[in-house]
Formats: sequence, structure tokens, C-alpha cells
Amino acid sequence: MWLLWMLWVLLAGGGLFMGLGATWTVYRQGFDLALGLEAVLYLGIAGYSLPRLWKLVAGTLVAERS
Amino acid sequence: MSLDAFGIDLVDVSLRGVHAFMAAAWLLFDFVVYWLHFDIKNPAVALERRLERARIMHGIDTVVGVIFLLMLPTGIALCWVTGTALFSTAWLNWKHVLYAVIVIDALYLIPISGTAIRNLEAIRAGGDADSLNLDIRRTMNRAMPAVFLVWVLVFAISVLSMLNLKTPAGQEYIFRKTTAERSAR
Repeated sequence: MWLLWMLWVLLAGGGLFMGLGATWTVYRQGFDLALGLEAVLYLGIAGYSLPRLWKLVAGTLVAERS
Repeated sequence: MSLDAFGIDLVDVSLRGVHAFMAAAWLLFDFVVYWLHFDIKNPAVALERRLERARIMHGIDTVVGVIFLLMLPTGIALCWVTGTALFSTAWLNWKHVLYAVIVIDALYLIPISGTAIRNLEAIRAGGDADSLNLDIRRTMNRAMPAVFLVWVLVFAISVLSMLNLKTPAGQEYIFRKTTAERSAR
């Protein structure tokens, strides 16, 4: 279970950090192929991971209440 | 951020060492997992031996998963310690892209992890051995191209990093300052 938490927390957090960082750098310094790919891939990873992290958080909260 | 002893920046050198060691351990452990999978998917091998190997493989796979997940935070920390621009360094951006491909590859592989143990336990409980063995073989063979891709990408990332290794400013050697360099500070 801890590995699942670690997986989704790090992928959602890391994906957001790297994706937003790359997007911000493209905005500030202009387009670069690697940066553009980085932004798309990491934001995609964050977009995939966030609902799964949310499901994990919601599941834990429901389990604690019942 | 630095913590010098005998001309060696301990934080910098330790973090570089940990990051490199993690990449080496990742490849090594992944190869052990690969080696173990041959017996696990072979129906001619005794069931108890296959189950034991599947449990060992799953344990090592968990370690590989932790290493894979911690690569990004340690890499970011290394950038911070060495003063490397995280998003404005061209080679590093390509390294990030390759790591992102590994993440996507891993998201395909993660659901496969542990299926062999479940199927082998089902065989032991009296399930249809033929179809369960076929499922183990099919699932493991389906994972192989993704596993090989991870190896190629980790190797490519390591080569990319080595080709871009720099001696810190004002240092003759990569990992330490000479006495003259220390006294010049």
C-alpha cells in the first residue's frame, strides 16, 4: 500500500513540477523541442496520476470514517 | 550548499554517488528479475520452486520500483546542489524526456507485477494449470519489450550524463580540490 502512495504522490507531484517548470521555461525562453516534449509528457503523467492519487486519498478517508 | 572535508564537497559527491549507484542498482536488479522470470514461466519447473522465485522476483521488483521513483527527486536535489539549471540545460532536458518515457513504460509494466504469484497460487489451490500457465507465459512475454526499452533508456541516460560530466569551476579534479585550490579560496 505504501508503494502505491509513493507511486502516485511522486508521479503526480513530479509530473506537475516538471511539466509546469518546462511549460514556464518555454513561455519565458521560447520553444525548444526537448522542453516542449518534456512539458507535454510530464503534464500527461500528472494528468494520469492525479485522479489515481485522488482515488487513493478518497478511499483512505472513506475507510477512516467507516 | 557544501560541506567540505579534505577538499571533497561531501554533499555534492555523496549525492552524485547515490544517483549513479541508483542507476547501476536499477539495471542490476532488473537483470536479476529478468533472469528469475525464466523459471517462473516454465511449467516444467516444480511449482514450489516457481512460487519461491516469484516471491523473490516480486520483492526485488519492489526495490526496483522504489529506486525508479526516487531517481527524479534525487536528480532534482543534485541539480540544486551542483547549481545546474533544471530546465535551461539542453542535455538535461533530453534526459528528462527519456525519463518521462520510462515512467510511461513503467505505468504499462506495474499492473503486470505480481500477476505470476497470483496465478501460481491459483494453480496450487487446484485451478486449471494449463490456462494459468499460459496466462503467466503470455503476461511475462508481453512485458519483455517494455523491460528491454527501460534498459535501453537507462543506459542512454547514463551515457548522456557521463558525456556531460563537468569539473566544478576552479577545480582540476572532478571530485576534490587540490591543496593549492583549497588555500586559494
